[in-house]
Amino acid sequence: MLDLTLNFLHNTGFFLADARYVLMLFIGCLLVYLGAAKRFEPLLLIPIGLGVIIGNIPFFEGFGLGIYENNSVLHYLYFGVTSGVYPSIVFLGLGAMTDFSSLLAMPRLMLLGAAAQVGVFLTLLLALGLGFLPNEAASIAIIGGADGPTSIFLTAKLAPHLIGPIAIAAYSYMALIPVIQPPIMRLLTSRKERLIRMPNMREVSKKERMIFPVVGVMLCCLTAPASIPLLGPFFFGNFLKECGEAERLAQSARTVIMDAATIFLGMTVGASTQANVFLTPKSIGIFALGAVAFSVATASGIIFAKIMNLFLKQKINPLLGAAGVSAVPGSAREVHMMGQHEDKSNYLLMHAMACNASGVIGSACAAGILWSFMIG
Amino acid sequence: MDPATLLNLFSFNRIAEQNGWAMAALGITIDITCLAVLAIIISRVPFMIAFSERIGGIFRKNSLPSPEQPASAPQAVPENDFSVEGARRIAAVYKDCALQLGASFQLPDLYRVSREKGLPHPHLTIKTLRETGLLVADNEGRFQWNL
Repeated sequence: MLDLTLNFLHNTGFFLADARYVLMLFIGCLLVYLGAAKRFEPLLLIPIGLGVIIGNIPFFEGFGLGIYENNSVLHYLYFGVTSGVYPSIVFLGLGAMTDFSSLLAMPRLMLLGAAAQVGVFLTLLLALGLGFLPNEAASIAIIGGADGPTSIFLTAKLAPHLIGPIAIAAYSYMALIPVIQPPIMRLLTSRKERLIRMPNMREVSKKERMIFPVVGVMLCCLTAPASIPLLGPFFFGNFLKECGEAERLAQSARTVIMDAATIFLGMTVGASTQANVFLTPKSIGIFALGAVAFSVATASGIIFAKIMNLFLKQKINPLLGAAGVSAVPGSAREVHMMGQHEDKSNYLLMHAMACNASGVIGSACAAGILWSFMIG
Repeated sequence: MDPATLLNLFSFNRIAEQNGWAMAALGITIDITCLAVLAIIISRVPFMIAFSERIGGIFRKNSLPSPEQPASAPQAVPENDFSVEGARRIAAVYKDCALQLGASFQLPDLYRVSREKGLPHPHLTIKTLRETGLLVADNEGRFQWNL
């Protein structure tokens, strides 16, 4: 009886836990708190936070319990991450949600989404210079795109051992947009620039909205075929939404299908942060470089908008450049709020959403380009 | 970790060894070019749609009447003809077009049919037809021809 009790106690998580697991459990609780109590990206941080808690309950290895053990339930669910299935499904739902009207009304704003990807490629240089392998450097750099599914997708293909820290870094910085972006916006723009008003947008016809996903998928995927798994479902979902003849499919794509993928993506990515694989010096480097990537991406969008203003008669509010990162709709909301802080009657939200939408396309293209470079 | 140690960790040689400069320069160029071309294309889409509609309009004009259309197209409505005879001719055209409405009809129905048939100035014409007595009201709020 006593032996049985002792054996049982030796198998409990309390006995097996060490400081690393306690730290990770604390991080999991912190993420849940930020999502549930502070409402920072709750749809992402709550599944990830609970996933971190689930993945960091210590257990006896060899029982088929852990996410990295074959035949475990978590391992099967994690297959959706490592194979890139969940990010593709999330992109399908994103496409079915996205309204490109504002971007179609003002196509020049698409350049700001492209400019923000400069942050990705500058971080690639930084990571290479710091000694990361090219595959790892590319996976870290894509954090600058501020797109969680894209970061996970590229990392799953190039550096699967880094999925945990990269996904946590990407989603953490997306949640921290209200903290990271405003100081950069204020630093790089004058008050006069922040007061620039954008013209009203023209009405966009249904035909235009239907043609865009077809042209977009052909052009982007022909340029960077490696972006097909992301941009293919994205534009497909958008066409479902816009054609109006398959509304039931579009509705499913943007609700239940996307929600299911988000739940499993968040939970398994969180669970992949087991203390023994997550708490390494590399993870600290990834978090630092992720912050740099995100900041540089924000700054490059703003600077590019200012450069565009040198040539344009109708000036662009440079704050919009900050929305070129693809953190939808967090960065657009932040740009709008910054504009309103200076002038209550200045509405930048729709223009910022245009930059956001192009940022999604730009970061998926960047992921495809990086993947092509690495397999080339 | 102090900045000097960080600088020691960083090496430009490593970037060059991994072909990093070329990857970054080419990557940025491809990404921006791709989105710039997409922006140019979508900025042209409204013009292409307008052009295709114009071409479509020309083809529609030149095409034969579809089976749904009546075998005989409505006669041309004589415009700027203010004589009694002119009014009678206009009323005859309207009567032909509105055969489907029957012997008596309501004015909104006549107006709708004349719009559908593309007759010019239907509101003004119906008013004139009433004033000239070619279109008369019965006691139940309906109208009929008096040709």
